[in-house]
Amino acid sequence: MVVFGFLISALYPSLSKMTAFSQYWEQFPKNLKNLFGGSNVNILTPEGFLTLEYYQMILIIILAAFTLGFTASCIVKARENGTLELILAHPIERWKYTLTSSVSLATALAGLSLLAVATIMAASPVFDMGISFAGQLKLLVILWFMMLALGSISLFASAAFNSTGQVYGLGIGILIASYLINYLGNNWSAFKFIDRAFLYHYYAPYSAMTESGFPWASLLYYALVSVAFTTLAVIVLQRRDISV
Amino acid sequence: MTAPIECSGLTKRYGELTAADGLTFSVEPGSVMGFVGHNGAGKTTTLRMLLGLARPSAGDAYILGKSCRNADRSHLSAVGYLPESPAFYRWMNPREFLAFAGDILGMDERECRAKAGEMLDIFGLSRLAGRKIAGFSKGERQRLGLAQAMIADPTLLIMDEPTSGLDPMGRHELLTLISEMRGARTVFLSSHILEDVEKVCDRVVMISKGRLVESGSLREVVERHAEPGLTIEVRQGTEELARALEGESWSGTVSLREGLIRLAGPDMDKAQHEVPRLVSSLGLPLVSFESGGGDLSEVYLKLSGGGDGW
Repeated sequence: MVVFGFLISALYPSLSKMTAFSQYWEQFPKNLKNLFGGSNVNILTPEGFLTLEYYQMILIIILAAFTLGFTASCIVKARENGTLELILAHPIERWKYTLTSSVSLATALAGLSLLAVATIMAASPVFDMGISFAGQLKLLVILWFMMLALGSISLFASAAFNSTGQVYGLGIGILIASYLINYLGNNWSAFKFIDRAFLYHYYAPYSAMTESGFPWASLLYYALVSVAFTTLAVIVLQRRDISV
Repeated sequence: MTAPIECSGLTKRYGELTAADGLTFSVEPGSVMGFVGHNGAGKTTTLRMLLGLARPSAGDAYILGKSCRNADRSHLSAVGYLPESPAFYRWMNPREFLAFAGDILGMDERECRAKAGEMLDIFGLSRLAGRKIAGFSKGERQRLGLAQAMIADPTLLIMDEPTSGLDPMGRHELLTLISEMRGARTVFLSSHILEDVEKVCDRVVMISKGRLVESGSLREVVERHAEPGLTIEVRQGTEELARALEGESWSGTVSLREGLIRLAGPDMDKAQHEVPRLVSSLGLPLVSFESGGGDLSEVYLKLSGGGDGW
């Protein structure tokens, strides 16, 4: 993640001077631009370039892979390999186990999100990108909360399902569906309503970096999803039988 | 004194299947209690309910006086549990794993370290202390599992098929360890290997198809249910003699075990006279010929209605 962020930043000075690169992007139909991060993105600015090449998709894939792996290993994988049985046969309450998993996930995601954003902040002066600190800070919070929301859904799946594959399947499915519905919502008004229910609608890295206000609605949405699914995970694990 | 384990109408249903059906029994303090049943009889399900890993469909179970339905699980700090196939974090070494086990039982760091070292010594794992658990043999894992179960010096030790998969030496060592615990702590040992149960247990609970079929002291159970019988040993031709006995009207049930023929049935008085004659007519050298009660496996087969699924 760090290496990739640094390499992408290193490419910016060269690509930003290539008018052909900009023209190439401008030739894309609006619908296609929306598929990669939005038609309003100015690719010649560092924020636009980073949105398309780093924040919109690649970073999310990296963090989602970690999130799904982590949450699956906390419950469903531990159940499959027998370590959950060993732990819960001890005087440990299940709700505490679930909440501890959730707090560990939040801490790990905070660290990874910080690392991702700090990489860009460190690369910015080196490659003369002039990235705003405030914008990166906003993005850091939104990125963290988005992954927390995905992690909470995945933690719930980990508590409810019987195999690691099902947890990965649901997590990946939600992420892809969310991305595609967001794309459809950006292009066709018929999908706008349903898009509001999904994670990607509230994730707008370009706006976070370039606009002055704080995306409170996104933060609130992700926080609500996180609390709701963590609560569900606690309830489901509390009620189910632990079998290998 | 509170019974370390007490089950009252304990029932577990999975849809149409009833894995445990109204089990009612209790375990005496300081005893080594065998929990006996064939594979799939409901032993592991019962242990899971006792430990709060599975929720009973009906009835209740009490461990050290606390209901398994109780949200408060603090009483489990006095309970050691050895699952059938103990799971470990394979990347840890045994010292780290035992310290981790002590930590989740609420021991402080210094105590964890000290107890981990002590357990490694007791269970003969000191020379493996620095090795990753991933490379351990089945016997070494079982010993580490037992060390984990014993780290907080529990008053009650619950073991699920502890000798399954062990070689004869490992099995002997483990059974010796269990025997030595008698009186010092209560042991509840689930097993389908009846020879092991006979060797170490003083009391027994038998279940079949989820139902309790008998419980009590081992000797009482065997005396109560074993049919009168004879044990015959010949130097050679054991199988030939067994076949011949099966053909006799007075012989009853004939079974072979460790080179001995066990004969059980209602007409053992006649058998006592006829067996020497039959052995002699076959020209076989008779080594020993004793009358007496049967063993636990015979009792279990009788009470469970056969060896279905054994």
